[in-house]
Amino acid sequence: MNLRAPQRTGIVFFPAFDWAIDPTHPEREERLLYTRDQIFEEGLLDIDGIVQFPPRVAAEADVARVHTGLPALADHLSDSHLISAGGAIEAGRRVLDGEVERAFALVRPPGHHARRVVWGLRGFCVINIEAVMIEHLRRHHGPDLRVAVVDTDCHHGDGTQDVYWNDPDTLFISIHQDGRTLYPGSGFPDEFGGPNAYGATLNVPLPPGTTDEGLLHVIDHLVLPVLEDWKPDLVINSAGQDNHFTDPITDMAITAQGYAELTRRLRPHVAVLEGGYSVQDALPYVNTGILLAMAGLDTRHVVEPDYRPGRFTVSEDARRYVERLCEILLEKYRDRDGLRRSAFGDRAHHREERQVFYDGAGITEHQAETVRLCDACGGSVQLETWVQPSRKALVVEIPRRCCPACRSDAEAAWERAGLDRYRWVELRDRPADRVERKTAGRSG
Amino acid sequence: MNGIYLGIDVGGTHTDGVAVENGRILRKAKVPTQDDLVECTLDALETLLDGLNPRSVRRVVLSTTLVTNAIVQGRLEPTGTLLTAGPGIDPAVFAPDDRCRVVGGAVDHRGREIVPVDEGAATEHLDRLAGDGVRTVAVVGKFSTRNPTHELRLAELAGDRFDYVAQGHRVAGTLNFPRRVATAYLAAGAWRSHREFVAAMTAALRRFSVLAPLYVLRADGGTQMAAALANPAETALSGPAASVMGVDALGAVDGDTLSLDIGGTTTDISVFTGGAALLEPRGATVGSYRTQLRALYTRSTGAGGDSCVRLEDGRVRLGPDRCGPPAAFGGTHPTPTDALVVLGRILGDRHRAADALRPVARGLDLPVEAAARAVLRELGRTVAEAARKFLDEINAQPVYTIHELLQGHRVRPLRAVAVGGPARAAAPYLEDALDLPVRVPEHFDVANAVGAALARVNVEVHLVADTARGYLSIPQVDAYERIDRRFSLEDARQRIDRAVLDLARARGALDPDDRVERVDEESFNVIQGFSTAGAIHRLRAQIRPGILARIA
Ligand SMILES: [Zn+2]
Ligand SMILES: [Zn+2]
Repeated sequence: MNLRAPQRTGIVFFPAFDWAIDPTHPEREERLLYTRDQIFEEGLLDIDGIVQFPPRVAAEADVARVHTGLPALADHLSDSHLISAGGAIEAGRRVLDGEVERAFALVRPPGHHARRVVWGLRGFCVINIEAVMIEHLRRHHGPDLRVAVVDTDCHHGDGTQDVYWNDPDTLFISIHQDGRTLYPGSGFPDEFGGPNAYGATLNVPLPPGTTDEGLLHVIDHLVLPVLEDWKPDLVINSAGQDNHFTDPITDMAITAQGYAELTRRLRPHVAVLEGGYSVQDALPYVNTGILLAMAGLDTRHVVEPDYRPGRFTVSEDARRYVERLCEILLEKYRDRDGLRRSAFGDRAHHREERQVFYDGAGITEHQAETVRLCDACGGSVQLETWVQPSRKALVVEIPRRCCPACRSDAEAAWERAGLDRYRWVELRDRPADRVERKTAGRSG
Repeated sequence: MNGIYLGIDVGGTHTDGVAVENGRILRKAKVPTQDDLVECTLDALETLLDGLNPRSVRRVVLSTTLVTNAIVQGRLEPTGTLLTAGPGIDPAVFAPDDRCRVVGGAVDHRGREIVPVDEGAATEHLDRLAGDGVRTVAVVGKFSTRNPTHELRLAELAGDRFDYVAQGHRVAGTLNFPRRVATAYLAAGAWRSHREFVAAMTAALRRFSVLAPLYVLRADGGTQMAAALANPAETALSGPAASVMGVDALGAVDGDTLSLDIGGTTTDISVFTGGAALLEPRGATVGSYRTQLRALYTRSTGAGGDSCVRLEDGRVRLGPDRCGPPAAFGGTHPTPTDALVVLGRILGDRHRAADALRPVARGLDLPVEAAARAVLRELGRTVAEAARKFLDEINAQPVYTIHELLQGHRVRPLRAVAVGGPARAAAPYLEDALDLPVRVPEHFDVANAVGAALARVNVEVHLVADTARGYLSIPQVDAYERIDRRFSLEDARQRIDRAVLDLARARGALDPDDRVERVDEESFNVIQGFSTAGAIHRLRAQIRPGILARIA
């Protein structure tokens, strides 16, 4: 009578019933209410081998390891974000400690649209909870952790992509609805990583209406072969649930069965809830499916009330498009070293400019990033950022596994950067786990 | 409280009883427990009533092992089960035995019917059960506490071919389908033997000229009239509950307090905080059944006064088994009780106790007195370790709001209370091991019976009002009502208070001091699209388990 999970699985469940962006915002108190009801009614927390852990409150230092907050990091942090990130940390920590084989951080608010630099709220996100977790784990459990993040939220995980753009030790794969049809409008196959991490970012834009079959095709024919080659120590799934056919803000056709099967095939060590706003008709079933699949239990009966097999179909063209996309991307991934040479040649530095829109704050940020090309490490990075040209910031990053040449390059840039040109200059010395700042004027 | 209150706790080895009047213990009884529970209850009753006027008895509260034993020993009446489920885990997994059948039908998390109940399949299974001579049935639906229509219909289909139909939504108000299945199944399986026991006891009370109503103690430390008990499985685990209520009644609780009931082979640990004993977060586990039965939060450790003492790798070990009574009282094996006798802390045959302990002393290369102290230190260590683990578990209980998480209330007892036979003699050893002051109240040897005598009639009620659906449910009082969009949180508060008082009155005498306590309140806006379609109010209210009066 008592179910036993073949895979010992942890769950950090923190629905934050007392927090919302605003009362009718999709990211509101009610979001995980029905999910809690389903979890409790199913008795999921009674299953032998499913263990519940409380979240912790992440420290500001955990966040500072990932984000540069402007004007100051503290301006953007709230208890809700620190607990959500702390929930993810707790899930990852229990896996690395060997207490459980897998863990699911069923927490809110989400984080995958939060980028390295934070000027405000973007896509419901302020801090990147997966990145905060990963860097906490690297700091406390092993600096050499090889990590893969597979983002299956319906929106492009542009924040996570940005955090790991120059990191050759973190593979980021985002599967999402085509950016030409959905926020944030990015995530195309040519976004392939920075010059020292080329091919460590993979983007799989899927046509609206994609079904379970299409999504699972991507897992089988692209994600799993890449993971097999990459050999990560830790696989993280940014488990957004807004691909569901009932989601109010997207146009995909994934079912609870699809999510369960995806989880079973992907076998993530840690799944972290991201988006998903069909709070009544999808989340209770999808979350149940994901948790059961992680635990290695039967999910055949986890079906939405209005589901019937064969309800969703796609055109032959759309099917072939997805197959072809996987072929091209896999080929591109396999040829990434050759492509890197032809893309960047033997330049000393690579410079990129970009604009970032903060939908939650209604502001546009400008960035100019210069990366030192390096075969030995992720390369030193100098990132200029401003919303108003008169208030620029420079962020200098010494990467986690930094070679001496890149370190002197970064230190020279830090010395050079004067407060005549910048309002703020931040040195992020990752090997020393230290953040230093020079600030012009008194107001910061 | 006027009149005499009788409390009787039928335990594994002893049956204890007390008669209490105006905060004074008038009589105590301790008789050996027999196979026939009615017999030993009557023995205790006879002692208690000696010299008292039976007509001044106000109520008789019984706590027995009847239902616990039937469950643990697999002596439940054969019961048929019908389940309806819908999306989620395959419901067949939760079939308690092969007389169970899953029939079509589903209700979702908001109580909306998704699939109508398959009456044909249900009738077919009920016919088969009736044909096989099965007389009790449990019908349980997923989310039935949100909408019991399917269970009500199944009960209707069962009709009067069965003597008793346990309905899931009536046995517990919380969400947990597998536990609801187990709870309803146990309720049906225990129904007949409980009923017969109550009938026999009521008749016996009348022979003693006791006209007061018979009450039973429940696992949560509350009591109610035996005749009004909806779910007989609730009397399982009433023994540990009796002791916990006794600790409270003996006036020994002060702030966060650890309560220890030292029995023959086990020590039961429980915790008081905020003036009340903690309850199991999801429900009691009885035998192999995880149930929704509301129960006091207790953990049992396999070390008590009669536990067998062994030497293992040159170290003293206790239990978990019992090898007969202590040597000092006619047994053959050494026990902690013998250690207490050797040290002169309790009276008994000191020579026999010392003889039994001598091989242990030799193994430890110590004089017998030192070995006896080592045995008692081991008793203290075992209890203290279990208590610490238990407190960690209590303090790891999940919370779901930022407010609660940041508040982070932790239970940290500053004192302990010990009751049960060896409590007074063993207290110094418990004090050392726990590093807490241990208090042993007067009448510690009959704390369980005192708890039964003075337990309060308590109730717990859950209300869900969903104004978007226009529906309100309070499963415990069978209230399923239409509400309109304007139904507010304040309306919900008034409705639940009324339900609590109604239910308390139905269960027995209402105490003038009874206060309705609203323990949980949640209110959510239901958003459809981007506008508010209504609100969901969820409330839980209770008359908390407690005692009517303290022993002066
Ligand atoms: Zn999303
Ligand atoms: Zn380098």
